[in-house]
Amino acid sequence: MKSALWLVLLAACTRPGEDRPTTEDLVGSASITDAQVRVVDGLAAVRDLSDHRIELWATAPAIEIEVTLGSTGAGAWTLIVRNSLPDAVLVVDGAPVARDPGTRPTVGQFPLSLAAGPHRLALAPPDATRLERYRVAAMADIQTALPTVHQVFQAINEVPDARFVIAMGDITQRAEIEEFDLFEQQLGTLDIPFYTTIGNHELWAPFERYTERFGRADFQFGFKGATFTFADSGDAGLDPLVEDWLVERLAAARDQTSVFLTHIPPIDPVGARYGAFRSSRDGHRLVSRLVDAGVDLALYGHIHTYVPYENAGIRSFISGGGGAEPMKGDGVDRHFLMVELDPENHAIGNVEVHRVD
Amino acid sequence: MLGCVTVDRLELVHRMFALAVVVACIPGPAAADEPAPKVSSARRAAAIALAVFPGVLVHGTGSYVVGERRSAKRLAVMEGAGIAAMLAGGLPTGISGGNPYSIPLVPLLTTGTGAVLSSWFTDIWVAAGGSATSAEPRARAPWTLELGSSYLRDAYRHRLFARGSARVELGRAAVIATGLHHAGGDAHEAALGTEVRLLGAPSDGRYLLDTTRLAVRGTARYRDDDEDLVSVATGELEIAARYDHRRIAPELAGTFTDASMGIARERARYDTGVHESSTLLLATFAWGLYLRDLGEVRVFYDHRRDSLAGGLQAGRAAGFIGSFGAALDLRIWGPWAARAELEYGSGALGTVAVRYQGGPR
Repeated sequence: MKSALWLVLLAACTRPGEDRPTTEDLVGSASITDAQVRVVDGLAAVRDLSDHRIELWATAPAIEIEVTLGSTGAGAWTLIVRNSLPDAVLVVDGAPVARDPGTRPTVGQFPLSLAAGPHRLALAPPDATRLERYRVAAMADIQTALPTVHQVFQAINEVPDARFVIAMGDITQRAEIEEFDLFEQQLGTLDIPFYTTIGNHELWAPFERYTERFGRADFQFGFKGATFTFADSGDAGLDPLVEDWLVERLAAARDQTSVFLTHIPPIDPVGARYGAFRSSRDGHRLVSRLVDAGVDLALYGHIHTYVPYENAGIRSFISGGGGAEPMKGDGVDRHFLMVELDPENHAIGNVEVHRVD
Repeated sequence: MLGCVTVDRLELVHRMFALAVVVACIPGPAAADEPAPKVSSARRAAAIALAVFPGVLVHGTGSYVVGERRSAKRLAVMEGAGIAAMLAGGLPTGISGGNPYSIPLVPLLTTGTGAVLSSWFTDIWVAAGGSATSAEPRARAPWTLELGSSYLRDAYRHRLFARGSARVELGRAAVIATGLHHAGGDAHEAALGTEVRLLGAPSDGRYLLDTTRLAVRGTARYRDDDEDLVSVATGELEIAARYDHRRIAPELAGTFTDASMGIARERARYDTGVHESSTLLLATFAWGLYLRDLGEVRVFYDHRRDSLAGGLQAGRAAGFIGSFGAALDLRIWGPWAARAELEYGSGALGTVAVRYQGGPR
């Protein structure tokens, strides 16, 4: 009965994701008496801003943080950045800050001494702007396999040159708090950061449950001459506000190697299956925007298999091998991709499939 | 004037439809009408309530309560056959996680769902006393010309379309042309199709004892959208049937089930010049009532996702479900008829149109 009611409510509007872009605009900003924090472009969730302590969850390998302190806020602070690159270096107002030895490679802890007034903090690895080839892992659709996803993470750890993981959503089955707890616990076994958008399964609960903990679902970052743009398609479509944002950001990335990630493929390569946007007109509309913006690589999840294909000339992959109930008979099962970026040549290099089972 | 379709042909239609929905166990038409049992108002009200629940689970409950036991039994059989078809069509896709080899079975799922919903709606109709109303359905007119407008509201588009269509049937073949033009000039689409009637009455406007029919349709479709920066050409082939419920039991006369299934190939061309091709699965089902000889009303489901209405936002099943709608077709005066339709998927689409029905009346 509850499901039927939910279905009716969902059916009652044509923009089910209308409120989400507004909600995520709040990500990355927090304030208390005499202290304000703003993460540029919302590329980190502020998990804690309390007595001389800032804790962030980063959604990009390089982030900039603006901290403004009043007179009573000045003094010794501790900055903790979770989900950060192990070799990331913090620079505060132009001066590097030593990193405290931590227990996890992806948790950066920095002791700060901050005077009253505005401060600009930048956290990035030394090679963040150097154009050269590098590789990242890509995956999606963990869902019910959260208890065993550490096996996938271990396999990623064994790839020596993987800089970080990019993911196309559906990290949980029902967006339960316990699932997010377990996800974060499992990330403790991964030696590199994990940047993801959401899937339809993260929408089983209020969106804030995700954003307050893991940040935005629509975001973009650049790294070593490549741009990664993540978009929320959890309702099997993009909200027009997301599309406006996307068109603007993709245009800004036109001169770089451009990677686009979203959960649900706009057009299913097996068209008759309809594992795609709920309106194929909207699907074609998104593809036209990707083509227009010169996107070099599109990565999708949702369908629990591996499909390499061309989407209107864009090199595309469906990789839903994070462990959720796999497609039968495709011979793939759990897997992740290793994607080689070649920003110097404005290109995508090899995309390898790494099977876990 | 009744009975213009031969019994042999109808029997064949019945058998083909029964095969399509795996309802081989549905018997042929009853030999003779039985006098309708008298039902008190209290019993009628109880029958309607029980037809809704537990009738949603056991179809035929409402008919049984009002004494239409033959209908009750046969609607329950129709439900069972529909569930069997749903399982046969849906389980392989569900269990395999959408393996492409399972997709050809999906029309069984949609047709089975249509049979299940049809048997439920028909039971409610019988419980409400629908059997006592007279239905005098007529064949379609030999040729029609329709003009109207549609309004679309979806996430990206608030659009008013002018629309027109024409249909002419010569012998067993009909030609159908449809066109839509956005009032703002941003989009237009056109379709040209041929329908070959395999079974059922010709479109001569005459009264029919049995409206069951079966046809094969081929359609070429083209649409262009300046805002979406894409134009799409589609070639479609589908088989479409109407099953008159009089074939299930005489007291169900006046209700019917529609179903269609087919395949389409589309080619999208983007403004940058690149293009891509894709395959579409076509499947619909509908339940409807004849409004004496004035027309009909239908509720329907359309599985295709490339229509203006798109597919329903449906939570975890997002992307897989098509659109739902309701349509009213009503003769208003002489050769003039009106059509009103509401369809809901990713967008809401409303259509009103006026139709001139040519030929004998």
